[in-house]
Amino acid sequence: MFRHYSWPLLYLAILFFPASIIAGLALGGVPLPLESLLNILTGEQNSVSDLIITELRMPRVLGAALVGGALGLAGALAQTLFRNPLADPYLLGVANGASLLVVMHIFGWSIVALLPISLSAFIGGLAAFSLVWFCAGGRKGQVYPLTLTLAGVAIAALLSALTTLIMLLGDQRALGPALRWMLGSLSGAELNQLPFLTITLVGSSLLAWHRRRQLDALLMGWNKAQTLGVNIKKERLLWCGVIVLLSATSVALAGAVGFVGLVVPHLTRLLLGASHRYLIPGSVLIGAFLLMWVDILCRTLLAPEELPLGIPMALLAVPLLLSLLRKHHVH
Amino acid sequence: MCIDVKHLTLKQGNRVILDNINLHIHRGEKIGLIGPNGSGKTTLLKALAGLHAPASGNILLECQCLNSLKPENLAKEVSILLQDQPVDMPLTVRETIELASMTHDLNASVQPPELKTLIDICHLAPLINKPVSSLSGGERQRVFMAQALYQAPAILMLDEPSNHLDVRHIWQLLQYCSHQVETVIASYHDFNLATTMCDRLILLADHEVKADGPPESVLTEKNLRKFFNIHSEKLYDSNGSFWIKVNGAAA
Repeated sequence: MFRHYSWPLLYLAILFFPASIIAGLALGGVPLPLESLLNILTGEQNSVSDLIITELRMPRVLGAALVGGALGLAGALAQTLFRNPLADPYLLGVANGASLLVVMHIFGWSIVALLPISLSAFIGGLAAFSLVWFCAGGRKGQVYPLTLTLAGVAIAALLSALTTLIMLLGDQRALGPALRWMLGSLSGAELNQLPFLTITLVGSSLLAWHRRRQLDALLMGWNKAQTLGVNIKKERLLWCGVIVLLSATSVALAGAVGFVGLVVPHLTRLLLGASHRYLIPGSVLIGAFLLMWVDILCRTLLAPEELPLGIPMALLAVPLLLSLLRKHHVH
Repeated sequence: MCIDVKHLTLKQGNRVILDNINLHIHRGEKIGLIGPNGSGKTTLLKALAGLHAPASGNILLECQCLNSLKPENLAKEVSILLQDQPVDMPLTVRETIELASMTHDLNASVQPPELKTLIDICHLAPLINKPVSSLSGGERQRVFMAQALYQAPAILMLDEPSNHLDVRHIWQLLQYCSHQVETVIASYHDFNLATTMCDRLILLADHEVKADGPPESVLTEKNLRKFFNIHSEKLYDSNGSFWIKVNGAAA
């Protein structure tokens, strides 16, 4: 019902973005009055509040926006590429690969323990995708949505089993940090981790925008898209690469936050329409908004304790997925 | 734009569909592919559109090997209406048809038809802002036919274009396609439709081209009995046009 107002809604979302950032900086275990927040942002110093804003909340808020935007975009691209409304960016094995190497790092296994946790996650994600691509017939150039999906599910199951085995055999004191990472958290985010994700998100968004008509054509299926001149071999490798890069950099920063990539594209289509000229900017903005507010909820609901991001995300995802199920039953 | 098919063999896995066929399609021809189910009509059309790789042999488009053409260049010359249309296409009718403008070449000698004209011809005006996924089979067929025409191809391929369409739309749309596009290659199950729309029929059966020529020479009672297992007769009107009357299945 909102599709006639797609562009005005997008402009409104952009206008409200600064408000969400300010809310993210102000709200938390230690609430900061708006006045002191504005003083800090305009350069006046207050040592304790300054530390909270610049060292703790600013990286979290910006990290939430970037991760939410990246996973939202990756989810939209995955659902287009696979023509599957249940596809999410982790379908290509990234989250499971990242989780395996992070768990190896946390439990002190081999050389992985020497790498920074975010680098372990990134390498694990990329390695898992390489395995999925190989198993799906990537070397022969015979990759199809179904083969990629099946290979992704199979490799994810394998990596998940290995991860669980390491957790069972390892020091149980490390179990808490490992589970917390796997459910997703921005508590460890630092400003110096953000530039790479920013470049990845901006670059991917511009590329997707530039090729939005090819993406629209892919909605008809790979064969039909090819009849309109879409180079399928090039597009599938390109978008798999973009999805994996967006997912791996997000997972490296925030852990394996689930459901963002699944839910955000559906919300975007509902509000703005299915064409990629709305889906691309919409998924980035709605993903950013969603994760920023979920992060605020995580650190305020049970303050001073903090919920992992994955728990409220799963609770939000359930009603949406059930309504999708109901819509398909009706059809 | 002409097509040369040389010693073409098409397979589906290990199963041979068409074996060592040779064809020459001249510019301006209106060709009908006929044959029993499984004779390779759809596979041949897909191969001519670059969607099905040959097991052996060559397909040449204006003396250029089809496999060497980039998809974006092939799409400027050839468009195809496939038999099965995507049922879950979430874009609107207008957005779906407009996708074909990706292939438009501003320097081409043949300019695409006006979008409004196509929408009117295909009776899509009341449906223009509806998602394609909400349409009936016949409505979807018209959308994708409009999209194929909006590509402004030199060669239009239609795989069973009468699928899901009512009588009015079949005649109107197929005649429009014939007038609008220089070369049309379409597969038919309806012999009388094929006779009216085509000046040349190609009969495919038993992995081969069994007959190739004007409809009268291809649709003989002997061929229809042998390859379709039906008894038939030709009935002529005062203008010399004929149609096929099917009298029943052959024993």
